Amino acid sequence: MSGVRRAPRMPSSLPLGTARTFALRRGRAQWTVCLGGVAILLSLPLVLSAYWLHLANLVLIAVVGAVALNLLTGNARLVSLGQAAFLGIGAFTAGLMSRAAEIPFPLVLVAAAAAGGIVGLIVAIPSLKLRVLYVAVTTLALHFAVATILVMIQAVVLDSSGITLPIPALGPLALDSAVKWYYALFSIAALVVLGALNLLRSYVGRRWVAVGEHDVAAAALGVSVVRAKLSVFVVSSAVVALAGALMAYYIGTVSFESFNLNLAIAYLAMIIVGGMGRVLGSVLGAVLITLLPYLLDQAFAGLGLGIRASTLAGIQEVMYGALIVGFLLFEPRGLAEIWRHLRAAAADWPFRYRAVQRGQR
Amino acid sequence: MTALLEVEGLEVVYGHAIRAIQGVSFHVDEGAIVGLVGLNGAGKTTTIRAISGFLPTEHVRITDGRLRFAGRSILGLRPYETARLGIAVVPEREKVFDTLTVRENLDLAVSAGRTLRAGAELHAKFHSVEDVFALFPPLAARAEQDAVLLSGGERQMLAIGACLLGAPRLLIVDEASLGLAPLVRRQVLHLLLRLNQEMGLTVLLVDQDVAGVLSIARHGYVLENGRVVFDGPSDRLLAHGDVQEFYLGRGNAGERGYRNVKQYRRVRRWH
Repeated sequence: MSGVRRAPRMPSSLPLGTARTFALRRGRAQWTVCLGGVAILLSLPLVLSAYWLHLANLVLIAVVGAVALNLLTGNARLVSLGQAAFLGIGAFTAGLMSRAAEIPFPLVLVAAAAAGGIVGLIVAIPSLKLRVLYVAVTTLALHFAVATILVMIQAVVLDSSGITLPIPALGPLALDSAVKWYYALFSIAALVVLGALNLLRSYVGRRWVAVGEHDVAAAALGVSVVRAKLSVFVVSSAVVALAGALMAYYIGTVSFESFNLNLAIAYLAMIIVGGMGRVLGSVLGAVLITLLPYLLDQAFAGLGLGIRASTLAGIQEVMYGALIVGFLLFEPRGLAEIWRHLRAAAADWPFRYRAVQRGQR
Repeated sequence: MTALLEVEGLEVVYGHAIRAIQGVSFHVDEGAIVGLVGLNGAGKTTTIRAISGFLPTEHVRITDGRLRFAGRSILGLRPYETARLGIAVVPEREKVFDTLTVRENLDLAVSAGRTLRAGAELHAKFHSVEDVFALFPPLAARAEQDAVLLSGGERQMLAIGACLLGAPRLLIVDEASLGLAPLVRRQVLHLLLRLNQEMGLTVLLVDQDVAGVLSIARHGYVLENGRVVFDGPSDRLLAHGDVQEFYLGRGNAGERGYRNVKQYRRVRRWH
């Protein structure tokens, strides 16, 4: 367009820090880092022991769930305590379907996601006029409703025992080892992460963010607040239910006890510690919160203090709480923000700050 | 000249107790700039919220009146529906999305505008984000920054720019002058006048700054306690003794405290 003034250029004589010199922000270097990271992640099964590979798989499932929760709670600012309920819906859908008939694994996953989406739509309707904490109450109600229903299903239909799921197969490939599971879960998690990143850059995601920030201003621009809230609930719940189904298949059994309120709060902890509204935050938070108990276990075992397991569980709870409080106090924007600081510091090195401030995400 | 927006006998009640708007009537002609002025609590923002569909809420009800826009009733429409008809409101506060960059804020408006265009017959002069940057060069310089970093004046520009991308037929600006320096305020008003003259954009200005608004508006309505107490062409209003005295702070009575003014007004009205 004519008449558009360009942003002021940085004078080329100014020293620019390593950002320009090594192009750390954009371009080839970024691709190198990205591809290098993926290569490392893909080669993890060659390095990790069976125990750690199992943990890596749990992390990948948590990533799927946390990314979806972050869309709802971090971006659209609808605090959900119904995470465990949606995971449970996904898991039980998968369990009951595979018990009833031999249905292909991908089809079960789709059905579980659909079930989550439908329930998400139902919960979204009373949440339409509500904000932040009131939505937390409606989703809490959902949690207890679903918990009761799952107990009843388990008591009546299943004679009080859980469901044991068969080993799933992706086409001809049976997921019968941790390594195969790792690659399957890695691809699903990668798809979900890329999907979320792209969704947030699309008009759909922008509307979610807008409605989360100022629903009045968004409506004045012509955004349908109702549709935005419904869609974010449906998308988030469907993906969370998908994570629940994956969890059921991976662990091999489904039982209602796993889907308690602690699980919902652990997922909230993931996105708070990781970074609200940031996809990277969900990933980092899922890694940290999932591994934390195991890392603590290892640390205490290494110290050789001989603490009893029951005491250790208590210590873990305290560490959980301390971690969340610590993040809220010192870095409310979470691990993603710390990562951003580190990256900016590396890019500006050897200078402390950039000469001209530029937007970055 | 036909009336684009007609408000007739509007009555709004807060919490079954307070009649905030008590039979307000006014109209905005196509292609005009109209001012709706008054003190805090006079009912300006409530009137706009009624027009743009943010009322009724749980506590606020529209109990009487007619609202017509471009010949059809807009009573009971929701905010995004009035926006799709072409009523764009620049809100008083909370007007931009802090965590989105300037460009993303405008992109959002374009995408919302895309659905607008599907709905209504529109004469959009602003098609792309670049058109807004051409109008507001300071925004172009900050396109990639998060909107939280903008100054008050830039936020106002961004909010107006976002509204223009929605291809409005009527632009309602709530408190264009709120928290802006006198110079910036004049720039904003001048810009609105330019948009009106060059593109025929119809503007409803809602403000406390009576002198500023009436300097560009063709016609003005003065709200007081939920009623229109004066209305007329801007030059006539500006020349009116009471308007000069109570809203422009000059006139026969000299300087007065707020309490005195209220008392005086009560005496003038009821005795």
